[in-house]
Amino acid sequence: MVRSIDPVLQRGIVVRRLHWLGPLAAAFPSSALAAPLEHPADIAWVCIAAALVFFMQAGFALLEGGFARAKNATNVIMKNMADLAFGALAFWAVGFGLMFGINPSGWLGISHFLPETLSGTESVFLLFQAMFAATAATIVSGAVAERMRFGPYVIASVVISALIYPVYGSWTWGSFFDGKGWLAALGFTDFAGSTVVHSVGGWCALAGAIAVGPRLGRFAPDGTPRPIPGHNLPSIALGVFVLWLGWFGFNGGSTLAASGDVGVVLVNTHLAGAAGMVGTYLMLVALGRPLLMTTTANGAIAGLVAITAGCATMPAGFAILTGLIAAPVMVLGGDLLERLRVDDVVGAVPVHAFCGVWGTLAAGLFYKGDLFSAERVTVQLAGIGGAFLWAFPAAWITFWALKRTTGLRADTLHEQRGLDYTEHYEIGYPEFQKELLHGGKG
Amino acid sequence: MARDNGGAALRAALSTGLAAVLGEARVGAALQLWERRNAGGKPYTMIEYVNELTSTLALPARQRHELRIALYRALMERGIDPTLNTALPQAAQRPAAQQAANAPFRVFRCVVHDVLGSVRADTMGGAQLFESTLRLRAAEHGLSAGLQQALLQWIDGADDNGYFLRAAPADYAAVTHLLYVAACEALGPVATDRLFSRAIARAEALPEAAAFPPQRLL
Repeated sequence: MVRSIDPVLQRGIVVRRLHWLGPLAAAFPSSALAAPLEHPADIAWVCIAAALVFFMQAGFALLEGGFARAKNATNVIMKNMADLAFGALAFWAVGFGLMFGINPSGWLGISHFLPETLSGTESVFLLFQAMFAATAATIVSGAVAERMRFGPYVIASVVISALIYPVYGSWTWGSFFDGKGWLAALGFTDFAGSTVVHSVGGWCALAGAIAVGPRLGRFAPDGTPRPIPGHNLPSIALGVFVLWLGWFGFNGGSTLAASGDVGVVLVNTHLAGAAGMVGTYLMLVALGRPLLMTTTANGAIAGLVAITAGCATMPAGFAILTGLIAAPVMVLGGDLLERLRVDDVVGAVPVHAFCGVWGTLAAGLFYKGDLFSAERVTVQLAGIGGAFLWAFPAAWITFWALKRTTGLRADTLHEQRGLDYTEHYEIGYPEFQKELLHGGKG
Repeated sequence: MARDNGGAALRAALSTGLAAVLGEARVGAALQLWERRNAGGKPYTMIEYVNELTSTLALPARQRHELRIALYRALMERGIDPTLNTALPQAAQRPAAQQAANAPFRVFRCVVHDVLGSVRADTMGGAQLFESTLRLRAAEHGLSAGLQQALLQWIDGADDNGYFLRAAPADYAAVTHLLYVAACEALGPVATDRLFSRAIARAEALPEAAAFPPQRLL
């Protein structure tokens, strides 16, 4: 059944439902964000942006598949596809209501579950947000690649899409219909989701990587990390280009309006991504390390993650600084994880969790017209801490429960044979892997 | 007489393989090493021979690999199984049915010897770690007591009293997996995948691989 509303009334309802953008709009550098989703051009732009964010899934698949060994590439890509598909249904059924439903308490939405009668404008909004949910969920797959079984991963991604991500999102971005999240009420700034999407996904990834344990032989008994190179570096590079492209939809679409504001957001996004990559070069040179493509590519993603929170609320110079500082955060964060013997195959935790934290802090520090405000930074820290205290334990409990019930980790024989074959009975590169192709399916 | 003919064929094959990599000038000394070792009557595998020869001649690792491949190729061109010792010329003349019956064992032995040889050649202390991991993990992986004992005897260089010859192919696969796990712990997963890939490729060159493809061990 399609709901029929007077167009003038509907426009008023939509504008009122997007009141959560109010504080942000008031503080935007170009005086104010245009009213969101008001005109057909807004709808068209957000639809295009949703498609760009969807395309980021391809970027993640290329990046994570390339980082994995050849015998696990198909499994990683299957996980990317599965969290998109299962996550979309879970977010539509439960997540959207929890995140954007009527939110009287400020802690979670309580309406609009299984939404069937949304207006066209609301549907565009749901589509755009479903893509964000898929992004948060898919961050996990790279961290737990090559040893987590497919079935438990799918269950975990459903929990993330339906519960963990939306609950935190409701604190910051809820509600679309009525009420307001408690972090939003405090004045927490996270324009497109450095914390809401990336840190939450990153903390879930950290919980998953710890729960499933490192890959066989990843660390020597004395803790020395043993590098396991990805099987396809061109694929990693292509994945980063695709992600970078998608980020223009991710951040630019978050204006929810086809206005000149988009330009500022896109320029900041692009500059921070570039600065992240340049910063990584400089960091590697300073540390006397080889200029690895894999690390510098991750540097670009680090810069993009970091600018996501403040891309609409800081001048270009600070956007560059945000991207530059994201580089050491990512590089040193990766070192820290290795020292702690946490095996994160693609570097998802330093890139998304740690740089999400930095970016959210930067959004408070470099807020246009209110630079280095202690009060604003305190609120930002509350939001950052809230994300960790909610997402990490919730994900940890999820993975722990899966470990105790269905089992989480592929056994060593499956690690030997590769999860492509043991989980999906097909391999990515049969011409090149024939000497290691097991003769039976036992 | 047959043995003499087999010995001559073996010597000719070794000469061909050695000359291809080392050149004619060093063939004589290399063959003397082979004959000196075999004079003791102790089983002496091709892998051990190549390792000792390359150590004696101070050859780089890449040349060791080339030498082993050249010797295998030369032996197989003359119908000699390169995974066995000097008794091989007789084995090559065994009836085909008997050869097929022992195929799983011979393929398994080829892979294991190759893996053990490579692990022992590691100069970074991987061999000790490999063996300690193997002992530690043998029980965890559900190997029977007999299989564990035979494996450890074999690793220690002692005779397994024919245990593996009588074992089932499933046992071979279990042992191969245990070796994989131990190698991952000792050398790292990348080196282990390469090592096993090479070992399987070499075992594929055996005549017995037609009856028992080495991939069945994986």
